[in-house]
Amino acid sequence: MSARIESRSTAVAVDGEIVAPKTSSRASRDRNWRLKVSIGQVVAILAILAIWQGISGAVIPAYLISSPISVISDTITLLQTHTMWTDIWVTAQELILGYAIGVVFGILVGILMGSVKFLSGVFEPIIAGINGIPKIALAPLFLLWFGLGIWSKVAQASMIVFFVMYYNVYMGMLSISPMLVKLFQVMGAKRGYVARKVVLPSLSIPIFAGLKACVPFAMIGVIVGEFIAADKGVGYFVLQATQQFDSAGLFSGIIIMVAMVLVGMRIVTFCQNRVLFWQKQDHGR
Amino acid sequence: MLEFRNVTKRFETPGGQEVNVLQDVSFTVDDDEFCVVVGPSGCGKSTLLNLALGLVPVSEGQIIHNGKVVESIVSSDVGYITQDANLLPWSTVLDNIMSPLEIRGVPKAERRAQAMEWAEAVGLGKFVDFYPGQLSGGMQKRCSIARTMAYDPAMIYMDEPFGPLDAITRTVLQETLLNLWQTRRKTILFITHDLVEAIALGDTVIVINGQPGSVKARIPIPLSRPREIRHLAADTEFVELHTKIWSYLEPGVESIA
Repeated sequence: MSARIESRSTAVAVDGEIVAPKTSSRASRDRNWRLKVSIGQVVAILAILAIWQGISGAVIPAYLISSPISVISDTITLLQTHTMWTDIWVTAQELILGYAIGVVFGILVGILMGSVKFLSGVFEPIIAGINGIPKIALAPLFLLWFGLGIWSKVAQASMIVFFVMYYNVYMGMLSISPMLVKLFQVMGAKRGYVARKVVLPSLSIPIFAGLKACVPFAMIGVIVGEFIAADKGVGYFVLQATQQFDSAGLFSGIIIMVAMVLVGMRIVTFCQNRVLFWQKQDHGR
Repeated sequence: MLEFRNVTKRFETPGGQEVNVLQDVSFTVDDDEFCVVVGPSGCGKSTLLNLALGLVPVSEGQIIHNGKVVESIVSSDVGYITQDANLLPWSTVLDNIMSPLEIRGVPKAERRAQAMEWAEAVGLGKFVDFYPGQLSGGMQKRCSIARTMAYDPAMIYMDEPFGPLDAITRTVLQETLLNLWQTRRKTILFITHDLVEAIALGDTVIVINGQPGSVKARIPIPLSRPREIRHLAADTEFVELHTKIWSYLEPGVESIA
């Protein structure tokens, strides 16, 4: 009896009937739980900010760690200036271009290496070797090749993004069910059909895993590039603030970077929910 | 018609040695015959199907499918139902059933109608908009049967299709399969390790045993159709057949278990 009640609490279709969805008491328990967690999060963040505010000046000199109040007021002031928005726009361009180029090449090379055994045999060790380079060490080289403008930062970001994306897609190719592919071949499917209907959808999970992981990586590439040499960008702004012992400005710059990464992640999540809708339906088999 | 002529299959072990999996296998499956191959695990019966479908090449001998020697993947007018349902998880039940029709270029409205019809026939009429992840194992299997029946291949290969299911679901699906087959005759080559299933479904049972596996017997099943699978165990003819087939399986079975 109790087993039957339990099986009725999730919306699963069993031979012949659609079992009733969650009961309302469970839904309200879920709501209460989420509310508790949200309150806990707010309290934790306020506590951290209060401690920061408390030790600033009193324990650690304000010019080293600034304080939440000055960081917030500084951020608000900065966002009203034209130069800050120019910096944000430059960094955004570098971020988007570097991300896009790295992602596209990562996916293409991953699919190619996953489908042509000879190519992966030849190039896998070479790619692994290049990936062994600490990519930040290449920043001066990119500066030399692509100049002071945005393209040296784009190159730096795409270099990092490429490898993350490539490995995700390549491993995704190797994990496609050979049985599913054979079954479709027996059904009469040509290569193009198998590629569109079996291979690409199978890759959607590793691709989205890569897309999510790559947003902060792209930001690292861009900021490193701006640290090396730049005259615009959020990274350049942070470097300037540091050199002027403007710790409030420095923290403001970091907050802006985090906000940009979070916006990027939101966009990826939005796309993911539209593409991987079928995966959400998956309640226990 | 499908014909195995002295087929031998060798595999190379990782250590570089050659191992015979199937030895000198010969038998024929006539048009519209329900032929079941039964044997213990490890006797090479799944390999038999892979050979017949051209998924792996034979080492010696020949397989002839509708007058043609099988040399590459057979993809004309054959169906393949595997142990796992192997549905596309990102497609609904209806889209899954429609996919072979889409491959064949059937116009959209028509393939929809046909797929709906088959979904109804296997009892999935209410679930056409569900994704495979929302279905039970038995329903997924129904969907894969509907997908194969929908494009109406003359011959269907089935590799232990009901193996992973519980006994009740298995019996119900066996009856569904027999009903479908009786209304729309096809040549079926069905692989199983389940003796009861073999006798219940087949016109002919081919017993494969040994390592390497070879044909030990070809036993016609004279049980009248339609058969009521759930009541077969009480049938004296069934019990006799069961005892007889067991006698061919016995040698060597202990060494496997």
